[in-house]
Amino acid sequence: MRAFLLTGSPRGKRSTSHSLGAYVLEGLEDKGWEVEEGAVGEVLSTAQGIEDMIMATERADLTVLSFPTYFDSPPAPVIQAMEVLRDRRKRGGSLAALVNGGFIGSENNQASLMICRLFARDCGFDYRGGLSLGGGQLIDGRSLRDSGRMVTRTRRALDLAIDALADGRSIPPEAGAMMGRNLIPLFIFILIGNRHWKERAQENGTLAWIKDRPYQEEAR
Amino acid sequence: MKFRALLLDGSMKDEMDRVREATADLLKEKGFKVESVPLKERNIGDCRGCFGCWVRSPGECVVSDDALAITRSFVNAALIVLLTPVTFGGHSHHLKKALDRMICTMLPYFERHGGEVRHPRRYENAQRLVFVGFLPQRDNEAQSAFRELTKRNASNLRPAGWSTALVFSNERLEMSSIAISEAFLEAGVQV
Repeated sequence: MRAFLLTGSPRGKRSTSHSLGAYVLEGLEDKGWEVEEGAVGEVLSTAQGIEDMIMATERADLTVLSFPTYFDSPPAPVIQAMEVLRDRRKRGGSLAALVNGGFIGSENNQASLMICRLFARDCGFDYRGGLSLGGGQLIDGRSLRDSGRMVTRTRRALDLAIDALADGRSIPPEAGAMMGRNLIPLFIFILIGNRHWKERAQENGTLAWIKDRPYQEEAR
Repeated sequence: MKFRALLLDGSMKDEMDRVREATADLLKEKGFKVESVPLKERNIGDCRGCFGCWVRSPGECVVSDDALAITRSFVNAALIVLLTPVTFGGHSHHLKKALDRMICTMLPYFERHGGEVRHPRRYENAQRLVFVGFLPQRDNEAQSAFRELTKRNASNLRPAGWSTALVFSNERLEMSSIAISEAFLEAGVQV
């Protein structure tokens, strides 16, 4: 059996999307699967890259699509990859989705998951379900094995998903529920998140005008 | 004084030309100054997820291309109409590229809003948004996903009023015009 991980973050291997996807890939590899991976940003940059992506999804028994939610849905390059696969892919196979987002609540990825299911439908994939993680930047591209206790539930959810996917089953609902719980309490997320942005602005010397409105015009 | 309307056309080819033209004509008749942007013809790079628009050049993307002018128009329009072929229940990649680059219209901070966490708006201009999704025929699952997406988009962008219209190429253009007119009314646009 073969799995193909397609990561949709512009940050590539330094992304939480890759952290999640790589964990699943390693789990499948431990169960004897052959694995390969690609990054949407790279594959779309050349005609050969696009062909390679199409063929990788056609020879894989399972394609795992892992990406961040931008403005409530997949980033534009991920949608573009989906459009290409819908128009040109010729063979079946199954699809599972891993979605992470910047807001702490996993419900913010709901539209992204709906889009993945419809993509699978329109593309002829057998949809095996998806997992949604909020507060993805708390992982910040680190390996899940190096991310400490905060991701214990995340790893358990992914382990359940790996077992199911390796057996040819869909991701069980309990994995979704486990993955969907907040990594940290909401009020702490807001506190540390706001402190993080102030510190980043201070490092760049821009805190004094962080609320600037460069595009404001008088007449509307 | 004419209010500005911005039409962002996310079509892949010419599938939405008639709907876009009918919408623009409707708005012009009602006194709007209409800027219509065919996004597939614009040079818009992908968002890099670098957050430079928050902490390096607050309010402006660090990448200089057509997205900057589009965002400027977006910020200053009283009405924004986002036209897109419904793509797996969402926006086309052309429209999504433009939207992804508009994270600069938000502040980086987090706050509670409507029971969820959101970023505050950078600008206080009262705006109205109308999403127009185009499908070849009725597709309940795609329509439902599109409505969920636009609801979330509106929750993030926090316009003064918003609505969603779905139009179908296997129906008469008059039906599309009616759906869009009703969407304008629902969003609080007087047409």
